[in-house]
Formats: sequence, structure tokens, C-alpha cells
Amino acid sequence: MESNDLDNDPRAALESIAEARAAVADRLVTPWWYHPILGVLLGLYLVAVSYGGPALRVVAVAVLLAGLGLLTRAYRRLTGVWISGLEAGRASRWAWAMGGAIGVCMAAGFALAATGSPAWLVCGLGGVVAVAVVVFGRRFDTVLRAELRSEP
Amino acid sequence: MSAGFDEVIHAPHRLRICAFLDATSSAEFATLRDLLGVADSVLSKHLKVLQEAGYVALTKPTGRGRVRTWANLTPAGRDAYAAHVAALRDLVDL
Repeated sequence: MESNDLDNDPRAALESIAEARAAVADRLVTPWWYHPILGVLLGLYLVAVSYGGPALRVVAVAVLLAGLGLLTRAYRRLTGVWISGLEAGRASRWAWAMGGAIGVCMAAGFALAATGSPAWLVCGLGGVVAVAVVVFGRRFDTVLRAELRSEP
Repeated sequence: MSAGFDEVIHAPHRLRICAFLDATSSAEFATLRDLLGVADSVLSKHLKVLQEAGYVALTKPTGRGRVRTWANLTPAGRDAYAAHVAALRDLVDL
């Protein structure tokens, strides 16, 4: 039987909303391996599409898409929720920052490859992407959890 | 009653469902059931009410393994929920 407290008490209703939002925050415990795997996938993708031939680029896209699909599926199965990086309120700025860092590194990778720069430089950029994904991704989680536990 | 107050959303279980879904892009049926601590049939009943109001959409992604039902707030549902929360705040501030 449902409680009737909320029917008559808007304050109790708001407290109930806050509890539900806190429950989401409790569920948002990203597995430790999620961001490192995502970072490695994107870093390898950058290196492959910057320096690889057409065949390697096709393989890189296929591996990236398959990897993203598996990661997303695993996350959803483990947490029971999904939050788009673009629908996360203030935390979304960290998703945008991650996307921006990846975009800048991708552009730099293409530029380095086009100018015949040494491969280790592009590999270094791949490493930067991997680290950026881990740092921004974990920051996203932290800010999102704090936001969910704040005022509804 | 304040403008924006929505009787469909205000029922205690449905309010918690909407609050949870508003904080996510989507949530699995079992997650919502655990949140409320109710039987599958009870959650199904509330989701159906919200679905019929156009506030919630249900999907069953296909693939290998057990089929899991996922729920999300529709744009109309998000708007109605936001208006309802605003109405609750107005009532508290009175």
C-alpha cells in the first residue's frame, strides 16, 4: 500500500524525489575498467586512422564501434541505468570537454601524419587521448553524483 | 491546487519513478522495481499509467540472453515532471 503522506505534504514529496535522485547516484558506480578501456579504444583508433592505410582504418572503425557497443552494454547491465553525457546537467560540461580533447587530438594526429612527423608523436597523442578520457570521465561521474545528491 | 500539479505523477510510487527516470536517460525495469521495493505487477501497473499519459516510453532491446525492459521519460513526461516539481516547491514556499 502506498503512503498517503505525499498526497498532503509537498515537503515529503520533495524529500521522496531527493531520495530517488540519491538512489541514482548510488547506482552510478562506474566499473574501474570502464574509462581505461574506453581511453585505450579511442587512443588506438586515433593512431590507426592517422597512420594506417584504408584497410586498417576500416578495421579501426569496426573495432571502435564494437568496443563501444560492448562497453555500453556491460555498463547498462551492471548499473541498470544509462545517462547520456549530453543529458547530465552541469556534469555534461565534462563530457563536452572529453569530446573536445578527443577532437583536438584527432585533428593534431591527422596533421602530424600529413606532414610526415614521426609515428611516436602520434602514439603519444593516442596516450594523451587515453589519459584525457580517464580523467574527464571520472570527473564527469563525480560531478554527476554530487549534482544528483544536491537539491532536486 | 497549483498550476503544473499533476495527479498522474503525484501518486507516491509514480513520483519516485519519474524522479528516478528524470535523473537518467533510461533505467531498467528491475532497477525501478528494486527502488520501489514492490512486485513486478505493481511496477507494471504504474508504468502503464505513465505510459498511457504519454510520460514514459518502454523499450525491450533485442539481442542474446534475457529480454530486459527499459523505461525512459518522454519529452512530455520531462516537461510534466518539471512542472510538477515546480508546483511542489510553490506549495512549500507558500
